[in-house]
Amino acid sequence: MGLTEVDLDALRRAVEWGKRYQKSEPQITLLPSPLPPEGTPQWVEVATRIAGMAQAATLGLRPWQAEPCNVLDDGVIDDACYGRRSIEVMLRRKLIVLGISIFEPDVPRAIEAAERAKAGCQSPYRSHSPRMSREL
Amino acid sequence: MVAGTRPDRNCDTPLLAAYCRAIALERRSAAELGAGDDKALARWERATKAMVALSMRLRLSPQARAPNNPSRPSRPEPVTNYYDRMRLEEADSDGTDRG
Repeated sequence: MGLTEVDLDALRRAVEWGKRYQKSEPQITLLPSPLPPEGTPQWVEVATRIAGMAQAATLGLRPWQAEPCNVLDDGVIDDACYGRRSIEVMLRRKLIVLGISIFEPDVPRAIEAAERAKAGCQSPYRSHSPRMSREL
Repeated sequence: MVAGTRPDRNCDTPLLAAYCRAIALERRSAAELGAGDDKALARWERATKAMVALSMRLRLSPQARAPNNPSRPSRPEPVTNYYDRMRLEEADSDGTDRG
């Protein structure tokens, strides 16, 4: 599967999430040491796995629910099958429509930001006006 | 509240139902009192008392929601399951409740 720049950015942030998680839970090893060089197939494999973990955490998924990066969207919908449930496919398609990578580690936040941008309004907490930046 | 509740906490349901009934009773008693029924005052008082007690137990009152309540240890808010949220939003936009 070809990875876009948006996917690679999401995977990089997923690896950063994994590093932060490992720091807060040192007894759990998420990442191999040393990490494979960035961009190699081995790195993509590790980063994809971490992206799934980050998505499960940020989406509050139950163990039997599939993360967007593990959903199979090949036209077959089966509500009794992991990765093919209608709600799982719906979320994956929503991400693609909004231009969000399926490897996005923080899916709820990314959806919120994309929908806000689509609606054309800006959060008062993320103003890019120079005055606000100085104040912050 | 329902989406944020762990599946093993269904025991809250009777309390929540009683809280809803207390609110309904309070509203009705207040309307009756407004219409001039003096006997509704006692019913209104009892309903208000029940509302306050149940809201405290269910942690719905402003005092129970306060973030800096030192009697409770700070714990991160549980993340609401996103698929549940999507289903609720979908049911809401359809104007139906599919459970």
